[in-house]
Amino acid sequence: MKKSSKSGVLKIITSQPFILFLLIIIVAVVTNSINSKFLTWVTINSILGQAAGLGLVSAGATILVISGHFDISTGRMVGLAMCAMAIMLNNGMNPVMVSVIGVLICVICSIMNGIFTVAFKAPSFVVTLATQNIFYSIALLLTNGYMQTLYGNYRSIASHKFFGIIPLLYIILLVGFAITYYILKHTRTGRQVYAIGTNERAAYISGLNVKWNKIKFFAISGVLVGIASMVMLSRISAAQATTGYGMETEAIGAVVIGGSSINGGKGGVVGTFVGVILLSMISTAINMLHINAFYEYMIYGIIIIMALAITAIRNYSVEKAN
Amino acid sequence: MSGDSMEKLLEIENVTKSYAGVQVLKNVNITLSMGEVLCFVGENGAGKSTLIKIIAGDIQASGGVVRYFGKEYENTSPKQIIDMGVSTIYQDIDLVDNLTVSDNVFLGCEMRNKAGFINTKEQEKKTDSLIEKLHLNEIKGSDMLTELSTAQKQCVQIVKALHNNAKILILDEPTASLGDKEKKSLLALVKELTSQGIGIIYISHFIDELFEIGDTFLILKDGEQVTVRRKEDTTPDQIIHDMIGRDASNFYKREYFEIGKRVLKIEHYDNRKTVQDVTLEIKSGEVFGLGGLIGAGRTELARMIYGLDKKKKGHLYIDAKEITPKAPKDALNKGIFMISEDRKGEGLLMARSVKENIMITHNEKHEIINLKKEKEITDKNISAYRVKTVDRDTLISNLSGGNQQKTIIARCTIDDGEVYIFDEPTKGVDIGAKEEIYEHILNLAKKDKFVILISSDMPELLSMSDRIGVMCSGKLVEVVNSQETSEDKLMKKYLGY
Ligand SMILES: Nc1ncnc2c1ncn2[C@@H]1O[C@H](COP(=O)(O)OP(=O)(O)OP(=O)(O)O)[C@@H](O)[C@H]1O
Ligand SMILES: [Mg+2]
Repeated sequence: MKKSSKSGVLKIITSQPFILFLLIIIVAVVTNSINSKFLTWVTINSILGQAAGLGLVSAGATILVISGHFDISTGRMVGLAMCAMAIMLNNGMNPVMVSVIGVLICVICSIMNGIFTVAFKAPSFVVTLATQNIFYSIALLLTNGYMQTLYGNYRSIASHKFFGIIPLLYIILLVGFAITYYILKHTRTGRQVYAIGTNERAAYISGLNVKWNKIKFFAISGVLVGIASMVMLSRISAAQATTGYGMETEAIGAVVIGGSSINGGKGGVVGTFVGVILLSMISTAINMLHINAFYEYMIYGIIIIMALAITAIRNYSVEKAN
Repeated sequence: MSGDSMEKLLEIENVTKSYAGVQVLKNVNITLSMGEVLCFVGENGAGKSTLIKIIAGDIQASGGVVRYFGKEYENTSPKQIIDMGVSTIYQDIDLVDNLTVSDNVFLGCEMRNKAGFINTKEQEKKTDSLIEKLHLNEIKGSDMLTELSTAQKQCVQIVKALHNNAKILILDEPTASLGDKEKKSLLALVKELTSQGIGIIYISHFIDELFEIGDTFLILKDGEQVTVRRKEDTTPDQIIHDMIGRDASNFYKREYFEIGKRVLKIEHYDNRKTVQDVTLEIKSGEVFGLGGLIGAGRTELARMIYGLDKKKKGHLYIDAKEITPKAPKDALNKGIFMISEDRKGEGLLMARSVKENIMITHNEKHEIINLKKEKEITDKNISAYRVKTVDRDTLISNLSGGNQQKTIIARCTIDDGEVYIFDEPTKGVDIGAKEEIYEHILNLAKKDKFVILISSDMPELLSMSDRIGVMCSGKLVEVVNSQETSEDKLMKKYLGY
């Protein structure tokens, strides 16, 4: 009994989320010692606000990566959904209706990615490499290439606060992650994600409907991307076809930083959450420390490499400890 | 006695290994001489594969010394050990399916021409001459691996192991997936190698096989060295007793009970290739064996019945009710279970826990999983099948081969079904655990289920089945009563006399 609780503690402190959590604290403390405005409510708000959109997309990406798939069209999908929603809002449509349609657009796009992947037995990476161009084109056609500004419409998602203090945005982010966590840990769908990511053949023979399941994973990711689009539109109050581009790689980056395996079958959404917070925090820190913004991407790259190193060292030391 | 130590290919002294505080090998001492066949014997999880991995440099011992050809080395990599002349063939086949035989043989140490490209011609020539030397004439260096049978792949593994003049050859359960005929030629091959002075380390759960080729037996139990015996001073019964601490027979004495009234009809199964118009009737409560040589179409028939492989024709009925499944999922919904012979490729979720591996099929039933109940069912099965594991959350890849097999069988017996197809269910399972699996299989028959058993292990097939259907080149040639036949008679039927 004693031994198991001890090894439980050991398990937690050697886990990827915990190590990342330490890293977050270090970055926060260091940044704050240089610029004391860093650990203030305003900054934290901006970090979490920025994390909301990326976080929801990353949560969906976690499910796909663990099941052995990638969707690199999510960034363009966000752009398309935001543009479509902005146009509908500017034409006076009901915001609730617009939100529903926005989510639907992403779900349909994702399901399409899933269907192509399954039907052509193609790597999802290649399929989504193709479809992202299509989504981008449609967004360009819809907007004629112009920025769509909302003039203060549709602000409530970003600005509403429960009891005047807890922003709705955070609740959406947390609920998104909580639901993804629940799906992965407590549901058949979650087990399917891990099983298919580990050994598709064995999963099929064990009675899983692998094709349908894969489409389902894409659909779940689509819902999360759709909600991310709502959140971002509300925050930015404007949209153009290029909005969202780059999020897809950042999201996959966050998943990898969080310790999920690109080979599928291993990982979890808690790591992704911490990874997203780390990424958003670092981009804010770069701003506040007046570091040349050109360094931002370099730092992203270095962090992903570092995360891979941490994973490798952890695996090595676990082996060594054995 | 320098002459004596010259002959010693391998000396293992006080070798110890532990994983996370669990000792899996304790103070093992053994030597291997030129031309000797040294067998590691023990139950599933006894530590046989672990010892082999230490010799091959795949893992590091926690203590002790391994001396190769009289010398001790520090921090050797697997590659260095291979280059020294120690080749290992692991429990599961490790070849690349979409390469040719010779590409596989030379994988990682390709022959290159002057321009630096791989010299395919030369590689194939070398491979062919090795194949000829080993009398494996059915294989060619230019064959694609996908075209080969499991037995032939096993032979390719040996060619690969020998292509750079190995002096020690290590074989971990090489005959587990072979039929009688292939087994014989592999054993003959091993004998031939020993006459060339090659030292062999050999692992198998077939006791008769060990006595056919082995010189020395190292018996392990729970990682401890029970004893070392020479063939001339021991008997199979003694070895079995050393191994599992009780007596067990190669020939299982099963319990017989009344056969039921319901009938499973397998009608006109045909894929126009490996299976031709097979029609069969099986009674509930009966264990129906399927015998035949490797490649006779038994596995293919089973896979069609399960809805896994495409068929041209074929219907399945229980009494008058049609239950032909369209896919594995459909089969399971109709209560038809199958265990694939390919444990690693089609059975295990290697990166996942024992729990998830046992529960995968059952968990398909409800969207929300009751975690508490899941743990209960898992623990119940771990103890029912005596799966040797630290706990239910241990990765399945950390279990020994035989214990992995037990989890897969457990997977199929959680839910109540009608038809159970076992394709080589005791592959890699030790003689004691085999009896336990037999009991689980017989329990199903006792509960009036339909049981189909495919096995290349003749004693197993004969002792477990009520009747045996003999398949030959895709056709069902005869159904015999297993009480009224013998190994010899059955073998003749397999060969089509
Ligand atoms: N990486 C690992 N981590 C923890 N335990 C391990 C690991 N690898 C092996 N073990 C344990 O070591 C023990 C010995 O395993 P090993 O594979 O050597 O057994 P074996 O004698 O080859 O059995 P089998 O006949 O079933 O193949 C087993 O109990 C197994 O669970
Ligand atoms: Mg083994």
